[in-house]
Amino acid sequence: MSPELAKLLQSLVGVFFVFGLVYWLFPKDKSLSRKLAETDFQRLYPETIIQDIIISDDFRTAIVLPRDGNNCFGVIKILGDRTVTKLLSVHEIAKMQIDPNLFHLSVNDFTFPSFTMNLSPDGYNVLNTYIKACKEFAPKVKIHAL
Amino acid sequence: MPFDLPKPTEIAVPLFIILMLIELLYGWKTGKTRFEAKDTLTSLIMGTGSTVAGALSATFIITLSYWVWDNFRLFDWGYAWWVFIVAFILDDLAYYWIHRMGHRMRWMWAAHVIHHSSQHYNLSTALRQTWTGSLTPGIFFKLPIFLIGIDPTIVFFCAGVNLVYQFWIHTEAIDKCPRWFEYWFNTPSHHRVHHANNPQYLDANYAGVFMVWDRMFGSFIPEEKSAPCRYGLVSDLGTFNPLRVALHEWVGIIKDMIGTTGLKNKILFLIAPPGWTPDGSRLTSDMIKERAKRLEAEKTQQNGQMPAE
Repeated sequence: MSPELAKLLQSLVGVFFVFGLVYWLFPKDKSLSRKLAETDFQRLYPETIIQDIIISDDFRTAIVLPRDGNNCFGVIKILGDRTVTKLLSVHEIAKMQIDPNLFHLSVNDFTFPSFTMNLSPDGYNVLNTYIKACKEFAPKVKIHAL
Repeated sequence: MPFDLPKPTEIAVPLFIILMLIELLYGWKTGKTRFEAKDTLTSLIMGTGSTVAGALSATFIITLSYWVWDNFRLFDWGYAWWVFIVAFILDDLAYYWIHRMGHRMRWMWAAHVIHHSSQHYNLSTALRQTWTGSLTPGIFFKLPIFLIGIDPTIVFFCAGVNLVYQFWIHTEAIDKCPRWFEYWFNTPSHHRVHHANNPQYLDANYAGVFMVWDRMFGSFIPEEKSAPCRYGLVSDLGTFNPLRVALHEWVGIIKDMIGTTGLKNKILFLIAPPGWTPDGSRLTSDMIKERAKRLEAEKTQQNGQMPAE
């Protein structure tokens, strides 16, 4: 084995050792709260007034609905624990589909190409009504009835 | 070069590991530093990958540097101890401008963005390094040092020492250093500001070692206790996949260049600040700062108009 390859393997062993240690020692809270979703959204859109926030059953995703539907529309997803999140704005959304218990998005973002979220009946109704009222985005959305 | 110089970053690896373990245990015990497993793994894999990428591009960088030094140098500085000090200061100045351009020109940001892509700020973030640095014009900022006649090997050695210095400043475990040190040198407090995405902290504190460059060129912003740093990119990454982390901004540039009309716009997507678009539909850091100032002023005005109860 070449010394360079040995060094690389040694580094990788070190990398996974530190990963294991962090995984073992640090808290792994993966739940998203309304407050966290709101803070994350307003960091990027400080001028937007929020009308409603729908949180998924597993508390890992939130949909943020602004009062002005044509302003922007946010999806916040927890990636690691609750300290690492991704906020998607409607400007990045290529395709949206709403099923009675699923919400699917395709996104123009190389780091986050698509995502699916479980919807409760309440969540479905709120989102459905909101999207239908949103003139700019309604035509792009495929909505399946409950 | 009459003697061989060691590679400071290779010598420092055990120190990096020991310091990271200390910070990890300190964070676990006190809760004052935060780690997230997947985030840490991504940072460390990016660090390992950057050493491989660096080794692959080293031949090109060294050949270019020696070609300039051999053929165009104005003086011969020799190898006295004080040449190392001059080289260190000049290399740090070049680093300041490379780093500043790394934030102000999207071509260079495409490589540097990786280092800012963690939403955590700890010693593992220091190792989250680019794989594509050699695809940017960064080395051209160092050519004047070779032109005036300092041997590139000395400059590369100094750059290595500079990088080793910058490791320890990636932490929340250290609050403030003594005032004189905070004035002259880059510290965890100054560098936290550099990594923060709070509007008031954007595009500040580019220094490597000597903080005086920021003070001199007007980019210094002190850390305020009233505004805790929030780390990561303005628009955060949606992945821990190292390949996507390494290439996402390059993909963004290519998509934007293909999607726009006119040569001027295509070139501006490469050299204008990150966030620039022909129609202003995205925000540059200057626009974000302006917006934050306006909102703050509006808030102050509203509070001023509120009748006292």
